[in-house]
Amino acid sequence: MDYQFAQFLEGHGSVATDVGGKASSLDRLVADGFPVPRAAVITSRAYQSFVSEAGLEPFLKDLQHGPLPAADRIAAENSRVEAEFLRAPMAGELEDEILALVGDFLAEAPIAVRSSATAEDMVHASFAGQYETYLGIKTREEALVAVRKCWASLWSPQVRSYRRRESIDETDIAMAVIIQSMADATWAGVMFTRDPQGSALDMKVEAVPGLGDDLVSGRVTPHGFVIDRRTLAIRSRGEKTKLGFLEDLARLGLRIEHRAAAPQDIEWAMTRKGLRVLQARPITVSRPLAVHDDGFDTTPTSGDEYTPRGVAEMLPGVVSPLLWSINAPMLEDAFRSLFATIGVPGVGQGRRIVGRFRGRATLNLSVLREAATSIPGGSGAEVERQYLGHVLDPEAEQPIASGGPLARARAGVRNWRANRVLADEVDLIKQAVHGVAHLEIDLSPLPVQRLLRYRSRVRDLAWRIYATEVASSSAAAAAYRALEVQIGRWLGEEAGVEWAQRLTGGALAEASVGAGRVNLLRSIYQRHVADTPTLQAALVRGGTEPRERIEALGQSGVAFLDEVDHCVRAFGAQAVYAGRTWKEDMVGVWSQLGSFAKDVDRGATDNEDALAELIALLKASPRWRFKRVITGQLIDMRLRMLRRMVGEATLYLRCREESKSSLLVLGGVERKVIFEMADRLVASGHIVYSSDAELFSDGELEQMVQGAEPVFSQELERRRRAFNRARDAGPLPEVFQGDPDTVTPANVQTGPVMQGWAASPGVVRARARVLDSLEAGTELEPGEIIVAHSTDPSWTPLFLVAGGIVLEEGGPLSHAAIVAREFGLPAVLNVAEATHAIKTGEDLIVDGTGGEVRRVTISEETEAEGEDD
Amino acid sequence: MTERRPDPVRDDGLHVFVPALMGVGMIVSGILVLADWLQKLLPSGRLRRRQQVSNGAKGVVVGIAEAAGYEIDGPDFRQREWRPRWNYLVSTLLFGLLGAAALAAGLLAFNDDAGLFYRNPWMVGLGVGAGSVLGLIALQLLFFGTVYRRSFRAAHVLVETTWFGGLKPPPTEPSEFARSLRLVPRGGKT
Repeated sequence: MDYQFAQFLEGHGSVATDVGGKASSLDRLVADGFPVPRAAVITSRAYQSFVSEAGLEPFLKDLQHGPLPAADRIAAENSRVEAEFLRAPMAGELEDEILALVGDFLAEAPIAVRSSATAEDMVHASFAGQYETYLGIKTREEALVAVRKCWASLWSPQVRSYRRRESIDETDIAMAVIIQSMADATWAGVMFTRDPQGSALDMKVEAVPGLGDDLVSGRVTPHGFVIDRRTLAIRSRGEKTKLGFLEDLARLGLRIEHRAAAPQDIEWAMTRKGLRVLQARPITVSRPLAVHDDGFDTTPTSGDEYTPRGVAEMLPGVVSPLLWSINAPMLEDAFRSLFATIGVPGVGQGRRIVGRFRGRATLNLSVLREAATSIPGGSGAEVERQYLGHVLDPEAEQPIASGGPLARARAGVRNWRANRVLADEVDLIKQAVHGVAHLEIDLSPLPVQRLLRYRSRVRDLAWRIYATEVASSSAAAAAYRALEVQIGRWLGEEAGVEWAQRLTGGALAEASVGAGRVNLLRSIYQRHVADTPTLQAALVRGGTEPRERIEALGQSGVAFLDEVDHCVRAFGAQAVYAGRTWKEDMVGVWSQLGSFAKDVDRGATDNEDALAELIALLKASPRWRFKRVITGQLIDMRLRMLRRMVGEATLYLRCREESKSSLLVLGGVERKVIFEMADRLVASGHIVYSSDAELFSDGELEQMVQGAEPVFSQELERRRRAFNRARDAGPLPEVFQGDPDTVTPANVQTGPVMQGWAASPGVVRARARVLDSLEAGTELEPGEIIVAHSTDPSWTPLFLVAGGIVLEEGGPLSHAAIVAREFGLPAVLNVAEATHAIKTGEDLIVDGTGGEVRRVTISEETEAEGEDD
Repeated sequence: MTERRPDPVRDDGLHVFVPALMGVGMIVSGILVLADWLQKLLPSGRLRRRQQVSNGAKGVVVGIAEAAGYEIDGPDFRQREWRPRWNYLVSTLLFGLLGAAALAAGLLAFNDDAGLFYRNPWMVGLGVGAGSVLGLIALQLLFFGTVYRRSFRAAHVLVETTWFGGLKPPPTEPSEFARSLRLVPRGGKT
C-alpha cells in the first residue's frame, strides 16, 4: 500500500518537520546501521489534516494564546484537551491509512505508539517525558485511540508551559506518531552516555527485567550501573546483579553519541536477538528556567536603584558568564577600594555595587549616592551628573554633605593624597602591561598549576588597573566638574559647560582608548597603502574581510597583511578585559584602515588653542583687569588656577583613558590563557568547542582544567539560551528598581526636534546611519551621523569616519563624549529612544552645542534652496 | 531712599584696605612664582619617581614571568650615570670657593680680637675641617671633570652609586621599557 500520511523508517532520510524529532533520530539510527526494531511514522501532515478537517484550529488557537491553568486544574485541562481530540471526527482516508499501517505491524507483534513532535529531541530541549507513549498495544482500535491521544499530548498544559519557558514558537508546531514493533525484551532500560547527576566521565545505565515501561513510568526501582567512559569498567555501586551485555551496551551508546556529536539518553532493550535501540535523544536538563535564572544575574536589593550608565563602557552589552565572573569581582572591589580611600568604607556594606540584569552590567546608583553624600561637599546630584549625564529630578532638593571645615579639610587632604599617586600608578601600569604583553610566553608547554599561577599574577595586575581606573574616573569627574563650575562663575553656567568640553577635548588625543591603535595602523597604512591605489581599492571595497582581495595583489599585499597581523596581536581586547580581541575579529581593524583609504583625515582638536582663546576672552574684560590690580597679583593667580584646573582635569582623564587602554591590552594576555585552557578542555573531552569556554564561570573553567568533572553540557545550553534571550531583550532602562522588565520604556520622540545632552560642540548636517553593532559600522559612509544606543572603545574606528554622533546613552565623561570632542565631532547624547525614532538615511542636523537633533523636513529643504537661489 | 552698601575700596577712609589687599596679593603671588621656579629647577624629584615607577613595573613583569617559570633579564632602572662634564667643572669651582671661604672664615674668627671667637681653637678646627672636606670634594670633582669617563673602575662605581653621578632617566615610552626586558628560562640570566 502507498501511504499518503505515513512512511517507514528505513534510513532513507527523513525531515524532522515531517516525522518529528524522535522519528527523525530513529531514522538516522537505522541509516547508521544501529539495531532498531521495525518502525514507521504517521507524519505531521496527518496531524495537520486531522486538525484542519475536524475544525480544531480555533480551539488550539485559544490554547496557544490563553493563560496556563493553575496547578490544581492541570489534570482537568488535560482531560479537556484529550476529550476534544478523541471526540473530533477523522476523515475516512486518514483513518484507513492508520488502521492499515498498525494492522501491518500487529500481524507480527504488539506495538508501541510513541509521539514524535516537530519540536522534540532538540539539542537544547528534549521534551523528555512530556509527550505520551503507549506500549503493548494489541488491537487496531486501541492503536487509533493511542494515536489521537499522542496528538492531544502536543497541547497538554505541561507541554505548553515547557514551550513557553523555552521560547519555542507554537505557530507551526505539529505531532507525528511512531508505530514500532515491541521488542521481546529480557531486560530493558535507559542509558545516559554521560551521567547527568554524577561525573560526566561516566555513563549511567538503569535496567529492569522485561519491558522497560515500568522503568520509564517509575513503577519499579531499577538496577543501576555506572560505567567508566574511558575504560568501560563497570562500577555497580553495591549492585549484586551482573549483566553480561553491559559492556556491549556501553560501546553501543558511545557509538551513538559519537554519531550524534552529543551525549545521549538512550532507551534500549535486550532481546533474544541481541541489543535493540528503541530511541535516542540528546540529554537535557529539565529544570525550570526563570527569567533571570542564568546563574549569574543579580537579585536586586529592595528599594535600590540601578543604572547601566557609566558601567556599560567597561562591560558593554550582554556579558558572557565567563567575562562576568572575571570582571565583576574586580570592578566591585575597585569601588570598595575607592570608598575606603575617600574615607567611607562602610557605605553599601552587604549590598552589591555592580549588578547584572538581562545579562547587562549595572551600577547600584543608590549606593553611589550614599557614598557621595557621606563625604563633605558631595551630593547625589553630582553622582547622577557623572553617570547619567544629567540630574534625574532637577527640581528636587539634593542634600549636600557639609561636615564642617575640619571634615572638609580632612577630606581634601585624603583626596589630594590619593590623587597625587594616580599619575605614577598609571605610568607603572602602562609599562608593566607593555612589558607583560611583550613577553609573548608560550603557554602550551606549561603544566596546569603553572598556567594557573601565571593567570593569577596577570589577574593581580588587572585588579590593580581596575582600582586605578575607577579612582581616575572619580578624580576626573570631580576635576572636570570643578572646572565647569569655576568657568561658570566667571562666564555663566552654560559657558562653563561648553568651555570645559573644549578645554579638555584635544588633550586626550594620545591617551584615549584606541588612539595608540589608530596611530599604529596609520603608520602601516602610510608605509604600505598610501601610494598603492590597488591596495586602497581593496580596503575600501573589501567589505568586512578584505584579506582575500589583498592577498590576491601579490607580494605587496602579503607584506601589508603580515605587518597588520603582527601589529594587531598586541592590541589586546576590544572592549572588555579578557573579552574578544582585535585579532579574533578584525572587522574594526579593516574599518579603521578603510577610513584612511576613504581619505578621512581627522586630526585631534587642540585644547591649547581653546585655553589661549579663553584667557584672551577673560583678559579682555575690564572688570577682570581691575580685580587683578586691586588684589596686587604679580602673576594672574586666577589664570594660574585655571591652568592648574585644566591640567588636573586632563591629567585625570588621561589617567582614566590610559588605565582603560592598559586593561584592554592586558585583557589580550588573559584571553590567551583562556584559549589555552579551552584547548586543553577540548583535548580532554570536557567540552566540544573551545568557544564554549565563554559560557563557563571563571571558577568552573579553573576547576575543570585541573581535572574536575565537567559542567553538564545541558547546563551550557541553558546558559546559551539565557544569553541569547538577554541579547534579544534589548537594553535596560536608564534607572530602575527591582525587575527592569516592569519599567515602562521612555517615549519615542517623534517630533522634528529631539532633545539630548550637548556632549561635543559644533553643528553638522548629514545622513543618519542607525547602527546596532560594530559590525554594522562597515556600512558607514564618510560624514554620516552615527545613531546608536551606546558605544564602547571598540567603536573608535567609526568615529574616524563619522560626521556626528547621536546616542541614547552617555555622560560627560563617557567614551563617546571624549572621543567626539577629541576629533571635533558634534555629538548629542542621552537622546531617548533615538535608534527607534530615527531611520537610516534621514537627513539630520546635529547641534552638539545646543544639545538638539533636528530632522530636516522637506519644507525646510525647499526654503533653504529658495534662499540659495 | 535706600541706603548705599559700603564699598570697601571707595569708603576706605583709613586708606588701609586697598594697600593691605594688594600687599597680601603680592606676597602670595610672589610665593607662587618662587614655587613654580623651584619646581622647574629641581627635576631630580620627578626623575627619581620615574625611576621608582619603572622599577616597580619591572617587579610586576618579573613576578608574572616567574609564575610561568621564566626569569627576566633587564636593567636596574635606579641607576646613576656620569653628569655632563661642565657640571663637574662648575661644581669644582663652587666647592673650591666654598672650601676656601670656610677656611678663611675660621681663621679670621680665630684672629679677630674683637670677635666672639678670638683665640677659640674650635674655630680653626671647624674652618680647617670644613675647608678640607669641601676642598677634597672639589678635587674629586676636578678629577672627574678632567679625566671624565676614561677614569678607572672605582671612579665609575663612585659615580654610579653616589650623588657624584646624576640619576639616569628611565625609558620614557612603555614600548621602550618593554624592549629593555628579555624573557629567559629559569637560571638563564646573564
